[in-house]
Amino acid sequence: MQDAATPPTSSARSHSSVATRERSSTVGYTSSTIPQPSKPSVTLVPAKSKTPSSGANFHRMRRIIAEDAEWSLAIVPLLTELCIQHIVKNFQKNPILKQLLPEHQQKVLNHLSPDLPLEVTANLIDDESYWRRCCTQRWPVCHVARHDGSWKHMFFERHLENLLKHFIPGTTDPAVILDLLPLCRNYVRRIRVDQFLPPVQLPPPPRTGDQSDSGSEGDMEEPVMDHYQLGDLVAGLSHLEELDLVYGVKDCGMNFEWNLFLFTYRDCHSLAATIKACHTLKIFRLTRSKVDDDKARILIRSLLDHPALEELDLSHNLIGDRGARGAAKLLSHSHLRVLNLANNQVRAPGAQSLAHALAHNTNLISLNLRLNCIEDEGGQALAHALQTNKCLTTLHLGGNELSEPTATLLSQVLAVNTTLTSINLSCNHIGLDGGKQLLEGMSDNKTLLEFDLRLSDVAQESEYLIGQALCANREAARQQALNPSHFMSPITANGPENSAG
Amino acid sequence: MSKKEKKAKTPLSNEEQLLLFQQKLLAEEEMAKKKERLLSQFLKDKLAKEEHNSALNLNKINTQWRTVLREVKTRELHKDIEILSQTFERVVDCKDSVIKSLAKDLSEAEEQYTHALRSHLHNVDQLLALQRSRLNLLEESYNTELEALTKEFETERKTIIDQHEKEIRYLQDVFMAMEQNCIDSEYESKLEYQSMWDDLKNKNLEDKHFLRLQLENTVEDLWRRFQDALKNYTDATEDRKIAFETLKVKDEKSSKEIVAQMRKIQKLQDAIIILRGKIMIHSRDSEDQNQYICNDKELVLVQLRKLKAQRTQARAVSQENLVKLTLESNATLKALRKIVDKGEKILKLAEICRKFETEEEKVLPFYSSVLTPKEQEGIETNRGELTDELAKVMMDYIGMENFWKRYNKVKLEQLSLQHRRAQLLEINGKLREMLKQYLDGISVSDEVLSQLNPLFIVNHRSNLPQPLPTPVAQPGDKQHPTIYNIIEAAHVISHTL
Repeated sequence: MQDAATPPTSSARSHSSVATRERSSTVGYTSSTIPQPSKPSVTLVPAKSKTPSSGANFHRMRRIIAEDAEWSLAIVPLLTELCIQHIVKNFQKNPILKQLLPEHQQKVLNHLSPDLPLEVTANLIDDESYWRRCCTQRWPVCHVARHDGSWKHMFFERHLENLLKHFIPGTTDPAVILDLLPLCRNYVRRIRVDQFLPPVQLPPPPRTGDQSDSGSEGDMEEPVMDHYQLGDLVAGLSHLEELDLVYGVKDCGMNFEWNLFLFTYRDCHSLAATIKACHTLKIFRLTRSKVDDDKARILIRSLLDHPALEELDLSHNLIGDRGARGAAKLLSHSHLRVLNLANNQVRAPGAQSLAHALAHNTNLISLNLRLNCIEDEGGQALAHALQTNKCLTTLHLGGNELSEPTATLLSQVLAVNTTLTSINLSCNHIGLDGGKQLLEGMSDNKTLLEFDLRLSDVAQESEYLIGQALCANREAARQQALNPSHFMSPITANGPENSAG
Repeated sequence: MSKKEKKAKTPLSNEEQLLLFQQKLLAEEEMAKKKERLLSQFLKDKLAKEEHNSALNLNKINTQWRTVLREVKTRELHKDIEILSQTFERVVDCKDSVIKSLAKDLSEAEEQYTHALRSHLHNVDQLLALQRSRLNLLEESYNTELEALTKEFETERKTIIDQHEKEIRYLQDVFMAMEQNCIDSEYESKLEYQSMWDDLKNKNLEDKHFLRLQLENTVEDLWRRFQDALKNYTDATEDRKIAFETLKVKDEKSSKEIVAQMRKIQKLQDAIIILRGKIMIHSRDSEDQNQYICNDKELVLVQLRKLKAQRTQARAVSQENLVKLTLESNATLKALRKIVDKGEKILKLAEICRKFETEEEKVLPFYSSVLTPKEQEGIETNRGELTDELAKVMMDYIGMENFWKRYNKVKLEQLSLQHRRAQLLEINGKLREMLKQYLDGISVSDEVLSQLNPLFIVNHRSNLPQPLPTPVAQPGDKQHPTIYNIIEAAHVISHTL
């Protein structure tokens, strides 16, 4: 009856549907080939087609009553479609992708499930839209710019970070992470782990009175608190460029204990060995981990003469003057370009050692010493160093208890320096006279673009005039950027018209 | 002593014995009183001493008692102090422990704070970086959009300008074509106009001729009619014409009279004007003169007033002078009268004195100058130095020299008499004294007894005071000559206390 109904609706479709039907029958799809919704045919006998029961009129001429509960306008899909669907379904067992044509590949990729195991997909699929779907399905917020704009990298990096974050040393199997290495080795460029779980401490078994407590306790404490050692992982990642670690625990809630936030000496030593071994590491950040002077020195010792390191961030730790001396030594023995020691306990001697290293340094571009307590001695030492330094562009000295002497020296530096573009002296006690000195220095400076003097007790007038000078400098820089040939001529603000015309 | 007194008194009267007895009683009473007083004083002194001693003893006893009490008290206090020290130590320990726990809490809180601060700063930095990147993106998009817009604008501008130029050219072409058309059509119309004009002109000329002929005819008709009318009119108006001529002659005459009258009037008016002017001038002159006269009058009045005032002043002054003069003349009269009276008195006195003059004086009233020759020479030398006034005064008083001589003489006599009187009085007094002494030596009386008299010796005792052996004046021992108590000073002092 179905066959009889469809041919009168003579359209190409029906022909093709018949054809596909035939084809599909050859393939073997007999069961669910023709998904046709229940819609009676319009062209055939309209009057009688609405009657559901066929046994109503036996005596009339047998009309064609088109009622198919599964009839639909959707035709049988193309073979390619079916093939693709099949491929998609069985992709896990039989990953066929490279052999397909590009448009077919695209379709397969569009339909692949994001839940496929990584062993299959990691090295096979490079399409960003697939990985994008994987990422968005797994995580609600995705900042692809943080991962070089590549969804695949983002996926693997975040996956790895997730595993590391929830790794409990002593309980979780390290093989879980190491097995991932061959899959993600080419796609992980940075690791950002802001949580390291400590080993779970079971309550100590009840001891008898015979055992001596002191000895066993001494043994129990130290090794228990070591976190996951990254050595093997990092050694396996051959393209690792950035390492951003925080030794702490998030969401601990009512289980808060201070020993959850320890960065033990063993951790420190293993980390030092790790970063020494990793020759592609460009950015190393270890923040908020209670890193004190000794541990910092251990880490820095391993970073001396590192071939690739460009950025070192040890902010929000407990680094004092000895650590700063180590950092100063590192400045002279590496290609370091960015050094961040914010929110530590560096005092004037530390700043002086840093200044000593800075005076002869030709690599460092950005130095961040905010929220330390270097005071005027340190500030003055840094200012002296800046008179000879010719490559530092960004200097952050906010919240350092600096005051007028530093401002005086710094104004002298401003008059001669041509490389500094951004200085931040916020939250110091510079005062009105210091502000005037800085203004005088600014009047001679043509390169500084940002000068942050908020909450530094500088007079409003001085701030305003400094802002005017900065605007002029910025305008000059913009003009230079637009017209590289005109180095010297200061063109007034008619930029857009000039450039468009 | 009383016996002696009685012995001495036996020649005395009973009254004197009674008196003596009374005196003794009085003395005894006084002594008794003295003794009583001494006793009371002594007792009082003793009492005071006893009281003093008792106070001293009481104090001694108190001090002794206090030392005992102190010892007991110190022991008690020691015990109390020990107890208190123990309690204080306990309290201090408690507080120390509290402080330590608080310090621990504080360090804990500080650690937590730093931990939270670090994570907060990290988060804030992340947010700031995010914000900056967003802003940069927005700025970039803005810049790109701005560039796109400017480009679009530029292209549109170009197209518009091109189109504008095209259309201008097109319009210019059209304009040229139109101009050509216009010129052609103008030329044609001009030709037409010329032809039309010629036609019309011919037509007009013909019409003109025709009309002229017609008009001439009508003009002749009208001229005839007019002539007839004129004749009629001149006939009708002949009479009126004649009347008109007579009236005209009258009019001329009256006009001539009018002219002559007018001239007269004119002359009279001129005269009036001249006279008015003269009146004005004269009035002005008279006014000026009046003014001058008034001013003069006023000046004179002022002068008059001044003179009157002066006169009154002079009158007053002269009156005053007159009054003064009268008063002074009265005074001088009085003075002169007084002097005259004085002189009369003197003369009277002189008359009276003459009665008392001695014969020598009556005969030789004056003596030569008392002065020594040296003094006379001195006066003569000094005369040259005298002033004129003094010389005059001296000349006036030369007449008085005789008077002064007599006066001085009398004065000297008076003085000598006084001196003599004094001497005589002295001698008189002395003589009286001697007489008295003598009489006193002879007679005996109460007065004599009361006075110190070395000659008066009764019972081998004289009235004269004997020198006392003791320096202390005995109270009550006035000048009683009978009883002498010689008392040692030390004894007196030891018994008085």
